[in-house]
Amino acid sequence: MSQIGSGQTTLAATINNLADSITLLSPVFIVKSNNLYFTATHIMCAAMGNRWYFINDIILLTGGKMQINCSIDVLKTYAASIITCPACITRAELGSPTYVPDSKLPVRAADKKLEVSTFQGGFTPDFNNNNIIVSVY
Amino acid sequence: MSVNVDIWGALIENEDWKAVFGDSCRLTQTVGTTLQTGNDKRQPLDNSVCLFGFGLNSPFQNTEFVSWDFTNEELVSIKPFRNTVIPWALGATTGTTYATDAIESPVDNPVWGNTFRWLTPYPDTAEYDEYLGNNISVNRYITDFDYQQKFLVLIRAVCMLDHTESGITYHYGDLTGWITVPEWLTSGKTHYSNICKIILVPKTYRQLYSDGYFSLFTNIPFDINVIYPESDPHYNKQLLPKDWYAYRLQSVPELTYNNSNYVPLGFTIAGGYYSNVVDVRDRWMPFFKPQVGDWQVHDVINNGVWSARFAAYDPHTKTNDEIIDDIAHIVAHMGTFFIFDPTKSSADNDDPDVFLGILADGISTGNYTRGEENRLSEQFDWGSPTEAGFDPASISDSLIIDTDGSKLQVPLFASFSGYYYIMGGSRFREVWEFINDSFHDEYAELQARIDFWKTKYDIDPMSDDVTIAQKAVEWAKERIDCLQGVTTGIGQDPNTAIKSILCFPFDLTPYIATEDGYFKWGYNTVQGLQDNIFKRVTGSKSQFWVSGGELDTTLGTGTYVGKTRSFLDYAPYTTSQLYIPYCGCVNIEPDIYVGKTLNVRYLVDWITGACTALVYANNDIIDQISGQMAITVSLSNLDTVNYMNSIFQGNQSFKLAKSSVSSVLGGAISELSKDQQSSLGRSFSIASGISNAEVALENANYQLATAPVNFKQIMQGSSFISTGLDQRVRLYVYRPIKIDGSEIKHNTNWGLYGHTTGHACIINSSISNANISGFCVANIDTSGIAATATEKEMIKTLLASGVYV
Repeated sequence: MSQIGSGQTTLAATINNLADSITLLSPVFIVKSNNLYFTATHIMCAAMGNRWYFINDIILLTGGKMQINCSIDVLKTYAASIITCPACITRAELGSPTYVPDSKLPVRAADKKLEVSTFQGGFTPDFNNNNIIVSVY
Repeated sequence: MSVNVDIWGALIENEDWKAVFGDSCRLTQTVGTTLQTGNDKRQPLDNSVCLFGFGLNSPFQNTEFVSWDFTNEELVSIKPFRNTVIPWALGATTGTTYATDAIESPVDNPVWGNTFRWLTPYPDTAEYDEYLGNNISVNRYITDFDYQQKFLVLIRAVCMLDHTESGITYHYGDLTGWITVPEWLTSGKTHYSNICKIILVPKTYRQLYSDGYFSLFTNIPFDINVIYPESDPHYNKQLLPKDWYAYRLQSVPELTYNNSNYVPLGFTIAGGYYSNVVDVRDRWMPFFKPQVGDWQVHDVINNGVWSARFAAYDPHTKTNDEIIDDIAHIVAHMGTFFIFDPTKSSADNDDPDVFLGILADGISTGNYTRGEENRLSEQFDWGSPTEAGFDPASISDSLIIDTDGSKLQVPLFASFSGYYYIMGGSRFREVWEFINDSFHDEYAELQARIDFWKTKYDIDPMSDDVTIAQKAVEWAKERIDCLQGVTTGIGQDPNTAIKSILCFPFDLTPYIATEDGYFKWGYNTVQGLQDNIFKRVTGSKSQFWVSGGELDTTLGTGTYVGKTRSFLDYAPYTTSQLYIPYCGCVNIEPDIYVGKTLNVRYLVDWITGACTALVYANNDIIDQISGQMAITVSLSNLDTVNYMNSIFQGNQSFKLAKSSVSSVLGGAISELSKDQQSSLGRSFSIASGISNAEVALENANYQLATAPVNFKQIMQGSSFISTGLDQRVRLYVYRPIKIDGSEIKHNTNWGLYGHTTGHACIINSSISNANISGFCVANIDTSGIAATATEKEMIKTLLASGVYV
């Protein structure tokens, strides 16, 4: 799952050599071997517009070099902008359901709890009092 | 055959009179209401005048006429009375001296034999044929008339000008048209034979009174609507206006009293005589005894009219209307008293037939009777046979039949040698006693009965249904008995007076305003309303409101509460029913009612007992549910057995309804299990638990309260069913529960659901402003981000699938 702006370990790598031409979204970096890359999750590349990249894979090369395959982390890169953009939030980590129907809510489809409330007033059955109406022409 | 229960009198003019006397024989159109029958000569009116009551209990309903050949002592024929129109026949009093002493006995002053004032039935002389009889004689049932009900009250027929006698002034209004009336009675002077033939009046007594007027006191209808002949194959209504047969009806517009002695009631008991009647007062009293005060038979000598009247009422204590009511009531039962004319033998001794009125059904003959075999026949309550001078067993044949044919003796009053009276049977007395005992106290009696019921039967419909049924039957029977008694006493079809009788199973007093009063039951002013049992309902004449109450505050504020404050408070997650007494249980939409104050009012039609429950959300009427609030007492068939059956049926329905509740529940649960049981892993063993209907009945309320499924319509509202159910409005809310079975409230902890899935929401805001710290799914406007298009798409995709902030 993506997460905005909170990489585990960020290595501000210095690009000192490029394997070849690289893409902006999925660059491949050839770097000098450093064990820190094994624990890092992101690489921030200032030369590429301060973009943050996921470290997808590391290939150990001869000559004390490493080939690091990356992919863009747009959430981390643009976190500050994203949270300020106009949005329609349709699901959120709220405390309780809202009035928006939520078919995922874990309720029983047909098993319900009955509540009975009684009106004030009503009738008192009474056969004994003035309860006869004779309608005449 | 229809029965003219409300035709209490009619003055009938015959075509023959027209033929004989010309127009003068007819009552003019200017007087009274003219009602015409068809001109078909088979129409029922014979050569007679009819002035009688035809009530259900009138003797005419049970009377036959015997044509008896006294010469050969053999029965000639027996004809139904209804095939006959009875004429009044009055003789003038010329040359007669009357004793006005109230205590004078007929023996002392045997005027009866000298002046003949009588009424005799004049049966049709043709063979009886209901429709196709002799086209001259009339052979149709006089009761074969349909009618538009408006009762006729026999008050008094007057063929004279206003006059005052005995302190009473009789105003007859414009009598111009009546001047001609006497002619067809008195024209015997010129058309003697015809008259005689027509009405069997002895010739010597059909004469004009010396003052130039013929005055007749008799009964006439007080008011009437139209009388129509009952349809038959030979009747063409189109001929109605052309017919000569007509009912002439006239009312006496006014009676003023300047003396409280007597009020003429119109009981012109022709054939009776003042002194004679007085002498046998005890015998007559059971029949004619007035309801209050004294009574007296009074002759009107000076006007040349023989008439017997009964001072039945004190005008100071009874209004004219009340008197009329009472008269009508009595006449309805008894009709007009009639007496055989004992003078026939001298006047028409060439006619061997004597027509006697008898009462059928073994009630009495009262007319022609003799011999031991008739001793036990019901007669008037004579007291003792010797007192009355009448003992059928003691009457010799010679007193009955003068074999020489010169005279006829039918000695009911055996001691009145030479004077013969034949009167109606004992049914009168029977009726009278009924009236006396029941009618005038009918509502007192009704009250007593109801009081009896109130104290004896403590109906608790909520107890158990068997008891309900038993008590209800007793309860109904008491009332039906009363009603039957009352209606029988009145002699009226209750439908003519009553629209409906409703019994509400709860006290109405909080909902309707009443006042002391009275109402007219048929012809009778029912005065029993001043008690606490019956009161006149004021206000609307068709409906009233009953409050079913408001939703109480057990859930908080008196409103339909949305408990979770979320979509879970609405359908389909939450559903609702409203149980409304007398209307049943109906679904209501929580979407409408959540957060609203519920209120239920009933609009009740008190003619039918139907009700409409209006369900309010705040002040708005949202739902309307129909029901039946009152138990209807059948008017069409005031039959105790049937009504009891209906009560039983009602109770049975109550049982079935309860059973249906359980079956509905069970069935619904079973059906639900097909779809839901596996996924929810829930055992619906409750379905089998309801298999026992009795258990279900006993636990109906519990099941209703705990049933986890909806029941849409338990039953239609019914008054009797509803009396056994809750009498309060109830709101049933079926709320969802969590997957683990726990209750859902506003503050329910949903665990990691919000963190992992997120609660559905609609928040139009930047993520930062939304202050969301956890999981978030959003559609975002990325135009403000300085990224490549691909990157922006990636951002949108990621946000739509959910991100952690």
